[in-house]
Amino acid sequence: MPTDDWRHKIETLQQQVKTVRAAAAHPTQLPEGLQEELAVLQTAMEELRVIAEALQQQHETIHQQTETVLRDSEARQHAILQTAVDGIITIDERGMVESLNPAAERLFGYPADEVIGHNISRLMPAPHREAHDGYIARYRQTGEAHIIGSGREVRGQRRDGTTFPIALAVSEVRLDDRRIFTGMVHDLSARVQAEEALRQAHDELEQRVRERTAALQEANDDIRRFAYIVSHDLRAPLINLHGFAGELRDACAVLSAALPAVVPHLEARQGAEVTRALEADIPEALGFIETAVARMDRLIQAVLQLSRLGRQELQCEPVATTALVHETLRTLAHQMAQRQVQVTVGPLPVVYADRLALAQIFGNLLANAVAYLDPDRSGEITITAEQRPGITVFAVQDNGRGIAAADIPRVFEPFRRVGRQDVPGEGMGLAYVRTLVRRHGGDITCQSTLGVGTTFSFTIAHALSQEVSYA
Amino acid sequence: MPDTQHVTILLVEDDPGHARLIERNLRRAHITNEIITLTDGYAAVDYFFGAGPRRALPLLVLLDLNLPGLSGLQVLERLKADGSTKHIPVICLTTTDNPPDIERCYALGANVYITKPIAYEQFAEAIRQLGLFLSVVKIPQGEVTP
Repeated sequence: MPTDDWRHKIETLQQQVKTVRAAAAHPTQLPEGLQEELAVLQTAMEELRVIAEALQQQHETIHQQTETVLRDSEARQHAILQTAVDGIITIDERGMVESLNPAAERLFGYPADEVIGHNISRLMPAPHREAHDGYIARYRQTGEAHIIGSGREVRGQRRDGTTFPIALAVSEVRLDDRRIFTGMVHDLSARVQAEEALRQAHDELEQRVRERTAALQEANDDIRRFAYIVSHDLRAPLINLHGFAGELRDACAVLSAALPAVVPHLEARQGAEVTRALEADIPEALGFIETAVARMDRLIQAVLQLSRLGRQELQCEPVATTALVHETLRTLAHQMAQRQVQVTVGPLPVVYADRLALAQIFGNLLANAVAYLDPDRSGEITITAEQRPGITVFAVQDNGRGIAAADIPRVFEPFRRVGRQDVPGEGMGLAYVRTLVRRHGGDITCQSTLGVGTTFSFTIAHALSQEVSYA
Repeated sequence: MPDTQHVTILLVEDDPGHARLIERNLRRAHITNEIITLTDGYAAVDYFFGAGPRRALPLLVLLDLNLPGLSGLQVLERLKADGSTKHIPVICLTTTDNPPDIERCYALGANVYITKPIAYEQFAEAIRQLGLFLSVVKIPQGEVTP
């Protein structure tokens, strides 16, 4: 029931009570036979009293509850201020501190009574300490806020003069007749220290990576230099071996030329032996020496070549691999015609790579595929490509004689030749291919089944187009 | 060729076998000039710049690049940096045909670069061509003014 209704009803009741009281003042005028009505009135009055009491009690209960809520609220606010981790400071319009919570006391190292009533600027280092009154004055004049309503990272000054990083958020509170400013102070020391530690750790890590990279680069360079020097120095004695074998041949020719004149002067057996030595034994020995030297020279050249491939700068450019593969196939046309090879070239992409290196890779793989076909069935060679995240995977598949499972890990090793030795070669082709593929940030694998066929798959990293070098 | 007959050939080669083969093949190509053989880079530098009486300048240097001590490239650099020796023709001999080495030689002022071939026939041919080169190149006599 609304308050006005209550008021109206109570007023009506009061009016009626007055009327009854006035009537009761003159009992002689009271009409006969009203005893019953009086009893009714008494009962009604009693009920009214009970209702009034109940209402009163209800009212008191509500009042008490309200008070409790208010007290709770204040206690809670106080508790929040007292226990807040962040410092909370209020100042008046002149910059005088009105309150600060224990966290603020702790942060700045001041007891409250040394700050309350003093200018807030004592909690700031120069130049803000001297300029703060000016900041407030300017804000009062222009309403132009630099920090009020927002927050920023500044430095606070402790009682001992040391400063520390804080996040300061200032809000303006308008009271009835004046305004105050509330500052929330969050200590950033830990965060700044953590950031500094993180930055140091990061720098150290970077430094270590740089050192490792340099060490690796050096080791890499050493290996290449070693291969180069070994190849270089191993060749020098070979020049002598070969050169002086030639000198011996010349000397033998001189002796052989004199032989017909000399032999008749010798005993028959001695003559035959000298003749055999000059015309058979010595040339045979020289032949073995020269063959061995030539083989050694090829091996050294192969090592030198491998070392060069690992060192030479890649000249990367977009290469249309379809055209490149067809060019390579043309150079093998003769061999392929002899073996009636069916070649399928799938759709191949443009990749960013060194054109010459890529031509060498395909050249080696396709020449191998043709050379090691099974003579008992017509050859089939398929070249395909697949795009995967970050890489292009090329595959050269043949239905050739295949490679025994035990031999597969060795096919990429220098000078290793596996299977029946009926195709000439130094065993360096796949070693070159692997070196070149790795220079392109990729790798090469071989799947093969003896008697069924072989697939070589190699990858080219897309990252090459972002100037990433794979030394 | 009276001019070339007075040319002394300075052969700087640490491998005695190579030195012998080079000499034999020069002779076989009918090159009769005096040949002085030195076996390391310091000896070569001393020959040109060392103390003692000034020797007659040889007018052709056959320089192996892979020398102990001072490398052939260092010797070449010294010769080409000095006004009194920079006009002497220098022929670099090496066991390798590594392109950067060849470029470096020419950049330092080498006149010819010859790879020592492994095959005897090629080697003889290279030396013979060297002989031809010797007979056609105009080599100034005596001390050269810069």
